Amino acid sequence: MESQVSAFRRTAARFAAALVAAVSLASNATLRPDPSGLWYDANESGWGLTLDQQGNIVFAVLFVYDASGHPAWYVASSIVEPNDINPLPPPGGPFSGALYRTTGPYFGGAFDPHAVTATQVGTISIAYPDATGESLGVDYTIDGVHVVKTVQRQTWQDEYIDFSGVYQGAAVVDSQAAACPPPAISPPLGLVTAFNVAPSFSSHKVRIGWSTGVDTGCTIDGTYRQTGRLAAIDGSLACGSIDAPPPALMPVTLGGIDFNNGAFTASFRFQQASCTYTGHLGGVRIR
Amino acid sequence: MKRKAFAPLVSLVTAFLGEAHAIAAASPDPTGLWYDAQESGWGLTIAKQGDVAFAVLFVYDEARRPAWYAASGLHTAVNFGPNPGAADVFYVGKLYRTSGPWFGAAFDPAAVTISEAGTLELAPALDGTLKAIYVIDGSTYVKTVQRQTWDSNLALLTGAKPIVQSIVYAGRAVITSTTSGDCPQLDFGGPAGEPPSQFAASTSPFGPNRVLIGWGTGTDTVCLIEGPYTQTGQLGSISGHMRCGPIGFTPAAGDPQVDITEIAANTHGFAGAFSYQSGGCKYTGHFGGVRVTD
Repeated sequence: MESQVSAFRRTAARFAAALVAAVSLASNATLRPDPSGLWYDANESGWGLTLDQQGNIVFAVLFVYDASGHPAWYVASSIVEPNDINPLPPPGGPFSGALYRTTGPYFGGAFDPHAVTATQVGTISIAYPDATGESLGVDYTIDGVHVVKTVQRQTWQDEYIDFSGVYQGAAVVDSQAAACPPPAISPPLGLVTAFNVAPSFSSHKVRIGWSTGVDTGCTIDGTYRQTGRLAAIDGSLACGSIDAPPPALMPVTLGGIDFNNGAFTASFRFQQASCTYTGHLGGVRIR
Repeated sequence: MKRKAFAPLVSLVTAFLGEAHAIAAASPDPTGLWYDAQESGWGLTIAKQGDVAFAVLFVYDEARRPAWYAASGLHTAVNFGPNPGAADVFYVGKLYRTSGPWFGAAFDPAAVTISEAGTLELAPALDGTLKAIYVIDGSTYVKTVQRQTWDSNLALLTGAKPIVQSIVYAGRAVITSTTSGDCPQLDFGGPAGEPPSQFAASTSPFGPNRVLIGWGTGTDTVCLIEGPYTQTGQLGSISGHMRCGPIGFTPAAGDPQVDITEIAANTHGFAGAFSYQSGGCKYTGHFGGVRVTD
């Protein structure tokens, strides 16, 4: 059966036939997962780094102390993937940019922006050391002083309970070895899936379940962890028939769970026999 | 009182959390970088988790040196009004001044000193701005700031691709409220008027920085949402029109108004608040999906 979107695409192709399809040269160099948020070193509480990503550009403000112990901040307004014309940059960085020291009018008086001075003091680079995106390597130089730190997303409140619901969306495998069989996570007739996300209020255990056919389905049972504004679930994946013996459990990690506006997205990685599958899943909450 | 900046302060969440939570969820997330466009050079960064916001104010001291103040436990409070133009909630908490070891040497967190400098109140306004009221050393300052925007997430949403290469999403619109019980069910064009389970998004052929979202409803029939995309800080919005019918049309000003606002997009998908206005009926909810094609 032709899906709605296939019909749309076919229709759209006709609709657009007379149009000149300008192929954009825009880079896809977005740091993944989105680094936006507050980062700190749990063993060095007292200084921090805030990152905001829009499009392909990360804006950073580094909050530290100067040699006199005074609070000092430095700003990098354009941290980008260095080879920005590369259409397939490594998603985890490094991204780099110039780091500036600014001076300006006292906050207690009238603020004249023309009185602000900005001086480049060095550079800053950021990169994820692994695919989880839960920690970030930060390498910066200020006035010739080179500093290397590893920071974590700062977490101060759990959003675990907000996650429950029934979602309509999809689970999509992005990467698997060529010799590996199709994974058992998708319904055979399409990609659209309804997820039931059921947290346990007595702990941080979560069950995510979805149907893959008549009397067949998958479940992920895992433990929810808040990591800054994102979350992660470590657990096991099982797919099979309700009439069959319990299926084999496959280790699974959901990372970068981003919940907002009644929807969530996440990346996943699971092991099925000797094959590793990576992809993403998510959906829109329908109840 | 001394405590550490950049440390969780969950314990300070007060008893009205439950009530505030439901209302806070309906307000735009203030997370991001804020500044005064007329006073470029200082700013305010806000990160919100649950009902608690963390803000850092980065300004200059009397010696023109950079200085920053942190508010690590801004609680959500309900705006009982009347306060025309203000959002339903605001954030309020203490503002701290810190000092600590030089960044270039080993960092001993025990050497960080923290003292209460005053208070910070952040009051989002319905026009998208934010009023920051801060008290430092007994003096009160009031600033109106806006989200800082330096790039667009439009390419994340559409892949910067034309309609024939549109990105396919699994997801839908979900209507959660209408202005009146007399309003008919919103018709999304399918056999029973139900929302689509998949849709496609692309750049619009009708102008730059415009988005076309569409789904098939039958043989050579589609529904289209078309309109300009605007980036404001980390969030985007589409203000357009929706129409369903045989191919060959363009949604235009006479068609029902559709707004998808507060759009948060990443490489896996997007979601935003949804509203549809037709006559005296307004339908609100959320709209989004997960990318199933590149």
